[in-house]
Amino acid sequence: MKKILLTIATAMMAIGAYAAQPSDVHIYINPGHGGHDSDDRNVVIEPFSSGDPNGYWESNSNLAKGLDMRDILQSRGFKVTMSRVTNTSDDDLGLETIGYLANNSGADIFLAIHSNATGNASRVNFPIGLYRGYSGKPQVAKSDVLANMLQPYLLSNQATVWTSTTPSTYGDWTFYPDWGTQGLGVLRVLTIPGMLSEGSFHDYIPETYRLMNNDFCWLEAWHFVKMIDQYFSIPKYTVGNLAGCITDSRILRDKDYIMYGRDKLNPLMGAKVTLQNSDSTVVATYTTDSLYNGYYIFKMMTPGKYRIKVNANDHYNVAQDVQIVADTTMYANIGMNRIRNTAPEVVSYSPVWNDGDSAVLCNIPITMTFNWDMDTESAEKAFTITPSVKGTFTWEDTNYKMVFTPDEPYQANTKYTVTLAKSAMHGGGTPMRNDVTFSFTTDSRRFLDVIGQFPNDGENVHYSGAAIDIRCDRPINATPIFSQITLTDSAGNEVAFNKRGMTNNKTTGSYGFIRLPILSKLTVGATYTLSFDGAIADYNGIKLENPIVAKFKAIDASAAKNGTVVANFEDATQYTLNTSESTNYKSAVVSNNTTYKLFDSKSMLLNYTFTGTSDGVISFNTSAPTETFTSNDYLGAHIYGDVNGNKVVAELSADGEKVLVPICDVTFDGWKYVTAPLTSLTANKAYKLTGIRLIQTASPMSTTGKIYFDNFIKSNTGGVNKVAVSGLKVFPSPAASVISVTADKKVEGLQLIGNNGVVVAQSDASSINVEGVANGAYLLRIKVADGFAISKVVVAHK
Amino acid sequence: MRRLLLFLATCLPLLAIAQGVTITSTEPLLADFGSAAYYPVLSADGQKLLFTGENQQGLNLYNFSDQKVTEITTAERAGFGAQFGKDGRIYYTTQKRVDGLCYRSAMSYDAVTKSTSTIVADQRILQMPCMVNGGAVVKSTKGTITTSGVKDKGTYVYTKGSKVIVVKNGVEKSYSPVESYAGYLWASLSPDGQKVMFFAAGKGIVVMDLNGNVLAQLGKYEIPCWLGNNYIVAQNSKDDGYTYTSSQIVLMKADGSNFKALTAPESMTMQPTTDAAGDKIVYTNAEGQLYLMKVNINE
Repeated sequence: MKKILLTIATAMMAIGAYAAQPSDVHIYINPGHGGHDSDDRNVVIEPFSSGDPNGYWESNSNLAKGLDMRDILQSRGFKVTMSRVTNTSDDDLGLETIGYLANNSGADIFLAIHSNATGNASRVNFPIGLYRGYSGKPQVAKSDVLANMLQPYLLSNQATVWTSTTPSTYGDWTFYPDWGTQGLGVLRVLTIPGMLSEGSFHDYIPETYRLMNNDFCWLEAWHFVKMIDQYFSIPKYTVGNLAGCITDSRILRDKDYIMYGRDKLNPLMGAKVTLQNSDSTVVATYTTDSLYNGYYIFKMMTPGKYRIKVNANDHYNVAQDVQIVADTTMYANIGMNRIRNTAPEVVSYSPVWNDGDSAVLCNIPITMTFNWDMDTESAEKAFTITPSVKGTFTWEDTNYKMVFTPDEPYQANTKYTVTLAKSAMHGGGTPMRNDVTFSFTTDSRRFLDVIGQFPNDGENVHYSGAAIDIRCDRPINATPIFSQITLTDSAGNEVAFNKRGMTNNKTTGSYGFIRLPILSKLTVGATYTLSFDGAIADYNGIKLENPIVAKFKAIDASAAKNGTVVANFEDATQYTLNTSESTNYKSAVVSNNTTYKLFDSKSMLLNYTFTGTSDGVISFNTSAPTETFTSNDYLGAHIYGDVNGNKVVAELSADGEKVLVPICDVTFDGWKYVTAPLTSLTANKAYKLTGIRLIQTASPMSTTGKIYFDNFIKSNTGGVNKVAVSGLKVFPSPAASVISVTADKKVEGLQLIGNNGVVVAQSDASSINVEGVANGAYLLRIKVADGFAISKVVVAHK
Repeated sequence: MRRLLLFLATCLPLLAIAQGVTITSTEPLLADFGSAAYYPVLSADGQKLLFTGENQQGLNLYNFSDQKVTEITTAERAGFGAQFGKDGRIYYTTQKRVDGLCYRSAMSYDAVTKSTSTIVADQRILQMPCMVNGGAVVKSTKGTITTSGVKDKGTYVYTKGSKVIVVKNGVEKSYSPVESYAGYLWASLSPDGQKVMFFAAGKGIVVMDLNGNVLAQLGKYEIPCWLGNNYIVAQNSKDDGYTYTSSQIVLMKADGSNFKALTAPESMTMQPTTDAAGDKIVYTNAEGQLYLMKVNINE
């Protein structure tokens, strides 16, 4: 405030002392906009709907200010001309017309009254003064003086809440650089000193409500008049004003719009403010309106000492001594204490749990609702939970409701006891009469479990048409998912997803999934980092235990391999469902597909649905491949996976003998080349590929899906050459926990293969964990840069 | 069939007129002047042009015959409402401010002798000079002043608040045929002296006879001027409450028919002025570039 008064004084010295009588002076007032038209500004506030002429319109408050200014000026003898006194479409004059009218009127100065809006989601509140020209270089001399002189008066208004008290004045050519020298239309033609005032921000909702009060508009008009008095050196007023706002002393406004400072407190509507003079005679009363502003004013009062008394429903009366000073507006913003005439009580709480009830979620917030608004500090101190849990308090419903949210999930299967000690007080300082205690037991599930993921850490991903996939034991809340999954390249640059291509679970279901295609092709050979945020949660808010990070490499799954193509799947009719060897399935159809293919013109799609979540088998027979296989061969397969985890198994036959060779678990998304050694075939015997089976893995997500097949390849190297590796050492054998390999060449990976040809463990390093592998003899496939070597190993646990 | 033929006979001339309004040329004017030019005023004979600067300070005279610009004055407000008098002089007002109060003076300029005369100085109330035969009539705080060369004032019009004043043979009659709180502007007499046009704020352009009978209301176009006796050129501007979003020059008959856009809305062209013969229009744009448009109205 000192700063504002100093600015006023400085401005007075700058302008010098004019000497005029009010009757000498002619003011032209232009209340901006008009007619509730498209170029008017409507702000929707309760209880008004959009476009309601009784709601907030800038043209309304501009006109209220203008009319008040006219009345104040005319009461002092000024000559006033206005561009409008009503608010119809005909009052919405052309901007240049207004300037011509002002020039012709013979006025000495021109004042355009407006208010501002941010035009975006942020909210602020402060006045801005604009004049024609560049800042500091007005096109019409003294226009900047008017703008500079008005600012301190507007900023002296303490009945509002300013977000900045720094005077803000600009030339319109500077303020609106995009408009060039076109500037504000209403100032274009002016030949007299003039300005446009944006008195406050009408889209700052607490201010919007104040601007609905014409007496608040009157106060802005008064400040304009003060500026005019100063500009023309008019003698001071012998009367003064008293204004302010009545709010609750501590209850917050229960709204979600942006509020600053005192505006956060609940304004009191219908509060009666009484002004008494020194002999206790009531000289004026004011009742605050019903539009959420709590504003009052006593205008043009005789200076002196007064006492104001304020009565408001459900609040203790307030009396305060005030002084009214000539030529000044004094302010008394009053916070009233609510009457809280009983002790606080907990009227409801959550979770409500009794012995025998189902256990509650491990993340459930604890809420308590009170009969009074509470003193938050004493209530939070009075709160205990056993076993101890760290958490965060929030308050709702203007402090009638306390919410405690645990920072981490509660322990599973644990009984917790909550106590609110009687030391908790309401806003009036009265404590509760008794402690409140209740208990609940948590269920067994603390975290959202991941049951499938692609890619996993260290996995290879086909570069084209790639997608990421996460499967959880409950439906995943996909609403915030785009901020919870990130993909970056090796330089840390974000890699975009095709968000519109996302597929995800419904809100209900036996499991959850999110599949998110990657927007562009990956770079073959490059590495990427996929991050699943720990905030990924189900619809109950149960989150992942930890964030997941997976680094993967982009490869070309269609790259050339050693071997012979034994099945190209160009003709799906060569594959027929073997119903006698298929069980627990609803449907199983193969067909050719031209969209998802790696080679030639087609792939083969298997579209399947099992009847349940386990024990399903779908078997297709074929006589198409004529190539024969022996136990020394490998069968390679290009498979486009669906992450469902079911097993693809090759059926190889010889002389009526059928051998089922597992090829892969379909835990991946997109194309992958997988190989399986055929060591489970009888040695020295020739087999043919006679069928493909899909064997269900017991899982809620295994029931239905789509798998594509493209070229199957026969090789005797598993896709790469068998090479001699010097200095090869494999140890220990037998092994119980880890098998390690050293060699003269760098070991790039290991596969532990059972006698049935199934890969039971694998690693991208030179050691492999066998703790979970059953006792027995295995082949260890050792990958080096130019091929692989084979070593026999034994796993033996004690 | 007879009724149809009668209808066509009535309409065909209108169609011919509509088709006869043609723009024969449009060219920049004073492109090398060096500063923005606004508020142009074309002389009745179309041979001279007044214009001013961004803030209407100063007044310049352009002569089409020798293509020279003469600076008449650098005075404040001189460009606002400057006019060519019927006596060949140029009439304008100036303004000064004392203790915040504005004082205006009425001036005249002789382009031949390049001399300036003060008609009345430093008035708190000053109507824009009215052009009459032989000079000007100026109303101010001092009363009505008639310049020395005036013998027969003839008929002239001006506005005062929400009134249009018609002065005929020395008799003043005021009319308020259209309600307008904010007031009237831009009153003018048609070149043949038979019709009065003015602008009623909030209502738009009004054409009436000399007895105050409204002949037509043409819409909310600004700065209207006569193009011959039957056509009117005006500015059609749109704004968003703060700044202009479009502005164009339009033409229409005095009865409101035959509306024609002469420039595009996005051209931001404005402040048209015309000659008495009705074949020249000068206007400016938001950047202060003047244009000369020649039109041919084939009636």
